[in-house]
Amino acid sequence: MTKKRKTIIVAVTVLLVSAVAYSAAAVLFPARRLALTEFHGPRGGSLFGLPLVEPTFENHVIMLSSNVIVGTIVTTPPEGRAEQQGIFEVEVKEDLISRTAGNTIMVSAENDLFEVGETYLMLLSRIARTTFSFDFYVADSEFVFRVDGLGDQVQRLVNPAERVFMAPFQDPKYNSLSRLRQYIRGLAPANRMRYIHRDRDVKVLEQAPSHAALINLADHILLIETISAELNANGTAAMVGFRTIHTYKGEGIHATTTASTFKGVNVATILFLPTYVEINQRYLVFLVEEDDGHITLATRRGSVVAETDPEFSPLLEKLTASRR
Amino acid sequence: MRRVFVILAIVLILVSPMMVSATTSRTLSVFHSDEAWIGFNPSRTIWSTLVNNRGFTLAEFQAYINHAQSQWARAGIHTFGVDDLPPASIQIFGGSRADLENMNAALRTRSALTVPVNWPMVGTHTFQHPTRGTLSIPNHRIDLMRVYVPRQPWYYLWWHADYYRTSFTHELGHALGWFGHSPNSQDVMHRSDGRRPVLTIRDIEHLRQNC
Repeated sequence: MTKKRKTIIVAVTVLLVSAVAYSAAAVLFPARRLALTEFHGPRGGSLFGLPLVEPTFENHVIMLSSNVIVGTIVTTPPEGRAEQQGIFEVEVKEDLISRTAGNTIMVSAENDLFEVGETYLMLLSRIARTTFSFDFYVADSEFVFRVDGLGDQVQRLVNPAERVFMAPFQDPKYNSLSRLRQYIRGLAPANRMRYIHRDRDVKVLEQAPSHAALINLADHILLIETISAELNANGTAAMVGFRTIHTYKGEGIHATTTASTFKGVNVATILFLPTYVEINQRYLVFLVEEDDGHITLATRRGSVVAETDPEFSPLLEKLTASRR
Repeated sequence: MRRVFVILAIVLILVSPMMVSATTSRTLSVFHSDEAWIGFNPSRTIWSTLVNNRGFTLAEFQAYINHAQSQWARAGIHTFGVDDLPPASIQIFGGSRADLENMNAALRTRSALTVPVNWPMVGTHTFQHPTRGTLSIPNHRIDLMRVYVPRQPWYYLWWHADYYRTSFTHELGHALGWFGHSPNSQDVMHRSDGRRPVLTIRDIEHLRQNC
């Protein structure tokens, strides 16, 4: 091979590698083409938070959204909850990033974020855990866009309490749903790679096929008595204080509420159980331990069995028999 | 001597409503938040819980809370740990991200969160803004705030102690009445996951004037 040919091959190889590297970088780290007219998030909101990522529109689509949809609010949460959050029922009109589980989805958000009958472009993060009786999506309150039902206009919600909206982007061409839709869809490849909750977005086991399977599946099986129960912020689970009456499997979970050396600092052991759980009642609970040591219900249904439940006695007999 | 005590008591009775009035409605001398509202937390009592003993070690959790308390004490805003809720006006929850997201799903897109539970508006301050003219600043009395600070997952390799010190100090600032965020990136109350665990003079003077 002549020296000239070698040089050409090396040059072509370098060009090819560069092109591939540039394409990969363009997908993974897209240029920030859109500038918001306002950097700051909604004013007058009912909570304050520190961002997980730099709060740009692109970052929130790529890194914090399992789904981006256009949807219409069907129902709003009941008023009166202390933390002013709840579950909205949303009819999905269009999926822009990933497919939602159905045409109607449950969305967790601050009570004043959405209004019934209005259509919004929503950035959502799906939560699927056995702790909750249904999958739901957490709305990103930083970027909420109302979609004009008849036309193609979008407006960003900048003050939920006073329902103030504004055209979201400095470049007016992106203040239309059609342009924004195109732009968001272009971010999908980067989203597939960089959505930060991806490893925790797993399919939930709904129910064990049999008692034996449930017993086999669980890492810990406890008979507990509930001491306290309080609904979580959006009312989807009960945070339950308890005492363990008997441990049938595993090392058990030691319920502690111990005042430590510093006044006002304590450790509380709580279980996240279905909302129907009542205090001063006995329950059999079937729990699994995840890789990070997090303990959760083994299945979405059937892992919490009340003493009054017809399944309680047969399960208890099986557990007692298996220990003999 | 008794007469002096009686006079002092009368003066106190007369002055107390004026002090409350001064706290609820007056003209502010500075304003460093990007949102036009502010609060004050009269009891400044903290009840903190490490949920399921996960995420942080108890020693870490205590150290971060102590850091936040000591920072706001520098501003003359002293907070106190209590053993029961009530009477605490600030509940701080630490723990794993999964546990705290189960408690409050709004944490899903945030690294830390403060949620007002009981915070009635009790007056309106005014502030002469250099460019925006006279601003009306609603003033809220904070009776209960909940703070959630999770340990970030292991793949947040860049998170270290200073991030947590900043987070706890920042969130405690919200719970004490620092609403909105500072537009200045050097401030602890800036809306970023910064590594600036020491309050600046802007952080301090903004809140101190309302306490």
